[in-house]
Amino acid sequence: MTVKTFFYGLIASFGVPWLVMLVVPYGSMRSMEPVRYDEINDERTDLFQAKRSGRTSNGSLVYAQEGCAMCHSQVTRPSYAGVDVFREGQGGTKSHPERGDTRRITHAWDFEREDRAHIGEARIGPDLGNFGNRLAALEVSENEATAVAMGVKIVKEDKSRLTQKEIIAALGDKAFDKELYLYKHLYNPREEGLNDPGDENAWSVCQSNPQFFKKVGNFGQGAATAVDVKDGQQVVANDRCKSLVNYLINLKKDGAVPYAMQYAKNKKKAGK
Amino acid sequence: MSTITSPVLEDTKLRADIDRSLRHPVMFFFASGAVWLAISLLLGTMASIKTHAPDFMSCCSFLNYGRTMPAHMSALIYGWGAQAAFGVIIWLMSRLSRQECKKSGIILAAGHWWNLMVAIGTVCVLSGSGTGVVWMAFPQAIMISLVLTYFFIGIWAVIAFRVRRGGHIYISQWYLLAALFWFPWVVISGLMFGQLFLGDGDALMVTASTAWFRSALMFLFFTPVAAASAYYIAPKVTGRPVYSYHLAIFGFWALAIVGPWTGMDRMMGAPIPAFMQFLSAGAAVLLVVPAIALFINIIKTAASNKDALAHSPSLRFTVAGAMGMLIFTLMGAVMSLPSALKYTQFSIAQYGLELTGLLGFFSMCMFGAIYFIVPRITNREWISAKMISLHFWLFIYGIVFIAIFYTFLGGFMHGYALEQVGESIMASSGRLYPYAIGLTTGFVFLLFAIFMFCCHLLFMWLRLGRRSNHPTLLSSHSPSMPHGPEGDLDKLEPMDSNQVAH
Ligand code: HEC
Repeated sequence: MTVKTFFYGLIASFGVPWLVMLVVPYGSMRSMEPVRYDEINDERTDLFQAKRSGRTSNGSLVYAQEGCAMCHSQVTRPSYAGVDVFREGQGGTKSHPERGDTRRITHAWDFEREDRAHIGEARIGPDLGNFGNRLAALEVSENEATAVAMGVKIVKEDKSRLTQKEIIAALGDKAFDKELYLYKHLYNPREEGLNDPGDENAWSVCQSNPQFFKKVGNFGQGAATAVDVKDGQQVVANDRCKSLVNYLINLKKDGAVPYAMQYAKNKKKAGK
Repeated sequence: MSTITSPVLEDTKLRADIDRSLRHPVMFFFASGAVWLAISLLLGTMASIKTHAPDFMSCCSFLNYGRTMPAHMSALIYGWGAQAAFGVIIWLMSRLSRQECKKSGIILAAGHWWNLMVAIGTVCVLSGSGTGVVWMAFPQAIMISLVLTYFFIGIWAVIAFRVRRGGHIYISQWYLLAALFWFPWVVISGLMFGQLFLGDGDALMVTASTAWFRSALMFLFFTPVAAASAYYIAPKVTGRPVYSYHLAIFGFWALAIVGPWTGMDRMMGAPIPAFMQFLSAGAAVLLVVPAIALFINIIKTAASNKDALAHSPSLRFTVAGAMGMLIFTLMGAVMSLPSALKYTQFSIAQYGLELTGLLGFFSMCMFGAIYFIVPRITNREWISAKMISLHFWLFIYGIVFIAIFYTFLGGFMHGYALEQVGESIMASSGRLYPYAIGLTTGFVFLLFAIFMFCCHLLFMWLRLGRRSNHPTLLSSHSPSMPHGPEGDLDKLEPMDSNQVAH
């Protein structure tokens, strides 16, 4: 083996996989073909457009810098790679009040608003790909429970139910506050009664994040978002925390997609 | 000095000159690398504790799992791994090419700069301004600076090779050349696709390219450097030629061909082209082939001189490293089988596997090289065989424990829990608990081992080593000393034991 043949060999053996695994897919994924809705199954024929609203990159960056991806994944794998779809709440839910079965695997458009897809290292904590949806569902059930406890009638005389808006209006500042819930989780995930009153959360190994909170003076009534009182001062979330929480609330990967991409519907049709 | 006429003496003098010319940079790389290894293991211990006692020191956000974990990995890779590799590369390349290094000042300066960068990078990660990508957690500017610094270090090894004396090219040299060539290509690609084009490319391919980068660095940089060291140490210490030169060359090309395809299996099930995921999973299985080649060659060579195996610390570490390579790739192969990957992809097994590779295989080979090289460049012998022995056994206990208990048992147990639809995250956390404690225990062993190693190495750096002609062996007085009769360091070399067998 001469030095020359050696280097030709190296360039070939490295260059081919470099192109095939890295360069070409990188280029082709940048310019993905949009998926067209299917006339028969979707009853529409326009092009599928992933929703793009709001900038999440700030929160996404905080998520990366704080290493949340070390313990949390954000992907619902197809069934060849795991049972993710069947885990309630991970890829969507089996019985959404309005949309029915929303479960599906993650697709490439789910990450359109992010610079980096936080697929994740390990699942020491739960998958967060659809955390925003779980949180929204939690909000509904918490609000209803509070309403019942406060004696607000959820079912009206004409048998129709109050809408969420009406319930929230009725509850006033007793309504479930998603942000505050997350601030509390990030401040101390092991606080007792964090999820439900009396609920022991001591087993959680989610990290507590003192870096997200600052102490401010005590303003009479107290800021609505204070998570704690320390040395007579209130502890409130800082900007990094707010953008992270905003990001977490918007983590949704169950939006309707064309038939061809939908996992659960595929199954249902096949079963029929 | 006109009396020196015999070629044997001239040879010895040349080697001594090479060693002297490289003393400062090589010693600097080894010593600072060892300190980074200790820092990395401390951070790793901290991270590990956080997974079973999350409120331990939770007042300090820089000790959070999400920060210590990437800092631990980065310190391990750039602080210890890369520096140990650099030390071995420049020394080995000069020795095998029979060229003194005339630019050791530049290498030394680059080494200082490298350390500064790693230190700043680690502080950035710990203070929450890293990138969050595990093997590339340092901020972009630091990474670019590291790549540039690399050229000031690596180039001298390439030059030494270019102006080599003597016709034959040893298998170790091929491995080193390849590593020198792959390192910048791999790191620059990882950096470009994983960081520089951020926001411009596709979010998924950004993540996929960092996954590729990780295994490419492992298999195309750390692995060839470790293999080069093993292929030098084993024949050198035993005084016997490499068992099979053809097998060695075959192993090399098997690695070169399979290595660059790995890594994307970490993206299994993510919406990137499926062929990439499966190709990588297949490649992970095929990596067993170069590992077997290395294993057979090193074991067979070492076994040809049982005395040396029993007494030489260098050889003992190297043989352990070759076994580590085999175990590491076998575990990787089993874990990447599509039916197993379901369980292991997001379980603790992946992290455990990385530790097995970096510590059980790469670091073992580096320790072997360091125990061989340092006495030569400092002209002093290791102070205590006891410390070497303690280092060896504590390290072995730690890493075997992590590999078997944490990675394999824990990894599959955790993965199994994750794959049960009905099992809550609370239940899988419960299953994880004993293994998390196991990992901390493993780390404590490793920490003791590295403490021994670090102290020993720093003493040697201060030139407190024994002034003796007798190398420090793991048991005294053997009839045939592995480093040559009567312990003369270089007596064996004129036979040129690294000679090939054909
Ligand atoms: C050491 C691993 C670990 C790290 C690091 C970690 N988490 Fe967690 N996380 C967990 C575990 C375990 C749970 C489940 C227990 C619980 O709900 O508290 C969890 C739960 C959560 C939940 C609630 C999920 C749900 O479905 O109810 C959120 C939100 C969350 N983590 C966000 C974060 C964020 C944001 C970060 C980064 C700042 C982070 N986690 C870092 C382990 C971790």
